Amino acid sequence: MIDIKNLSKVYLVGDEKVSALDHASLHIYPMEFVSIIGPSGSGKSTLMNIIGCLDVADAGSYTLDGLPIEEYTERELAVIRNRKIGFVFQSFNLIPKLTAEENVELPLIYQKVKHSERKKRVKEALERVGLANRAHHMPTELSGGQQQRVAIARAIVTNPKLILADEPTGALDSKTSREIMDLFHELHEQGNTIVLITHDNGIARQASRAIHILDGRISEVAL
Amino acid sequence: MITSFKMALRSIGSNKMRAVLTMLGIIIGVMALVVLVSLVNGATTSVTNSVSGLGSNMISVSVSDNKGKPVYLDTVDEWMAKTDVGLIAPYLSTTSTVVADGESSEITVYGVTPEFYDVQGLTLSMGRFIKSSDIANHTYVCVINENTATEAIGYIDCIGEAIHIGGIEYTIVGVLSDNSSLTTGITSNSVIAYMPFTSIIRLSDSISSEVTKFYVSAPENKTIDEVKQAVTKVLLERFEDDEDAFRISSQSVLEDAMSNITSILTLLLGGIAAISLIVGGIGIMNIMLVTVTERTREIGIRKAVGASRSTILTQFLMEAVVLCMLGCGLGIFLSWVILQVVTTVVSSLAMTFALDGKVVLIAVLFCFLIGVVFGLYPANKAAKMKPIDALHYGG
Ligand SMILES: Nc1ncnc2c1ncn2[C@@H]1O[C@H](COP(=O)(O)OP(=O)(O)OP(=O)(O)O)[C@@H](O)[C@H]1O
Ligand SMILES: [Mg+2]
Repeated sequence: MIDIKNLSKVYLVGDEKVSALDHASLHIYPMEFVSIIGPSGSGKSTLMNIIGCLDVADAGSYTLDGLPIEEYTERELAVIRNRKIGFVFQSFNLIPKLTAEENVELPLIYQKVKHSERKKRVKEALERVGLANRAHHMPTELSGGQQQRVAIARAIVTNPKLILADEPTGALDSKTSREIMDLFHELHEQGNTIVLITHDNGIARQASRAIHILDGRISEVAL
Repeated sequence: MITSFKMALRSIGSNKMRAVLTMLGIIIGVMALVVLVSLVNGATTSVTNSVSGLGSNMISVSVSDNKGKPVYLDTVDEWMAKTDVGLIAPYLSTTSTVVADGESSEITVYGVTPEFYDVQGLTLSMGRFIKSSDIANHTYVCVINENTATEAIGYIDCIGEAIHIGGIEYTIVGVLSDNSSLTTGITSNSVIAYMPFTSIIRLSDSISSEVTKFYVSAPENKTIDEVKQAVTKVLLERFEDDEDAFRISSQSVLEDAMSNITSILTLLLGGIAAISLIVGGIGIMNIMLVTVTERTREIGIRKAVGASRSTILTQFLMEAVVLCMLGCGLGIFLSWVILQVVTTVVSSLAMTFALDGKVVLIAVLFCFLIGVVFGLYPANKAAKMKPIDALHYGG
């Protein structure tokens, strides 16, 4: 499903070149649960942003569903982000002015799903993350774990093939982390491809395959 | 579309104070436009009404090419008897000199028939007007206005006095009141004499007894347009169907001048209002730019969950346009209130200042245009943001 070859990304900070990704190669098959693990600043988020079509690499090739990424137009990339990929960010990234329900509804609006259908699917998604009773709360009225679950509901409401999660448990206590991880296992069992980024070995081990990243270089470890 | 409209309303509603302040520019601009133009229109309508009420219920005709069939006074009489138009008042005019106290000054002399009095809506303050017998006998009588009486004779009550115009002595038989109508009101400062159509010919060699200019008034049961058609028909018959042989105009000079002045005034005021609307538009652009920067992260999130460039563009453009249209609506409403108040306050003047539909339409269209034009740049700025940069903005 995802094929990455020799991907490089260099940031220029002042005069200094920071190599966030250095000839990284990676293959992810459909229905896999892959974890990417590495210390802070190793390039995990950079990799995820490229996989999620939010960012582009400086060099190397990225093939998504058999088509090189450069061949997609801006509009097609928006559609891919909308339908194929569900993001869960480290910092939740909910829109503070919208209620939980409206945040989850957003990707469906961009898919031009009809109102009644939208309401139904939003309700389902919120039920799946166990937040049906918090639908009308604003993000600021929710705890961190609850916000993250709203973000997960937003990621799964479109039934995307690929779920990208960047340290979804990074800001949460161990109990809530476990709940969130259970949710990911459930999603995996339901046939979703999951790429989960973490710097926690315990969490990385729960995946079927763990990929190590260090200073932008990838090494695979079988578990 | 409806969803993005709702979204725009929400995001405007989330910061009401700022929205109102932003709209203020548009509100004031719209009010300036609508109120000023409506006031001018209201005043014009009421003045025009009083002008046409005072003797412009007529058309004026001038013949430029008689095709060898000149029109004389009897022709005019025939037309009056035959066709169903009102009164026809042929006239000639020339300038001459009037001598009073050994000093000579210029005078405008009209050669007229009795019909002229009614057609022009003149009012006598004393004496009589030109009579048919004056026409028949080519008498040396004249009717002057009050101003002429004071200038040439020295006092107004001058019936029976002699006046020397162009070296010929005329007897004054009537004095016209100067303030009777707006038409004469305007001519009240001029020195004018009216004499029989048949007598004026002696004043100057360049005048012949041919009728080339005349006024036609509408009878009570006919509109000006009907009269115009009737006269056109008669003239076409006479002048071999040549439309260029004569010219008919139904507006008095005064009304022409008035409409010129008001259209200039309307343009001028409209222009000033348009400028203030543009200033309001710049305010909107300013705030939209701030909004876009403030909401960079939101834009990033929206893009991450699948908003395309055009979606973001539409969203912010919609916000700017909605902001403009809200301001426009408020402005129109306030204008309506102001006009109502003005109408009540000056009710003694019997003027009504209603919202002018055309101006409202122009205001709405203009506001829409301003919303689009000034919203486009900020919206485009939002749309062009790279998702990753937007997401990382400010955290
Ligand atoms: N926008 C940027 N500008 C400059 N340098 C950047 C930028 N984004 C990331 N970097 C650099 O690229 C490297 C990789 O960053 P990245 O965010 O991918 O790390 P990470 O593995 O996700 O770390 P963490 O676990 O702390 O989230 C870092 O050294 C960082 O300083
Ligand atoms: Mg990171």
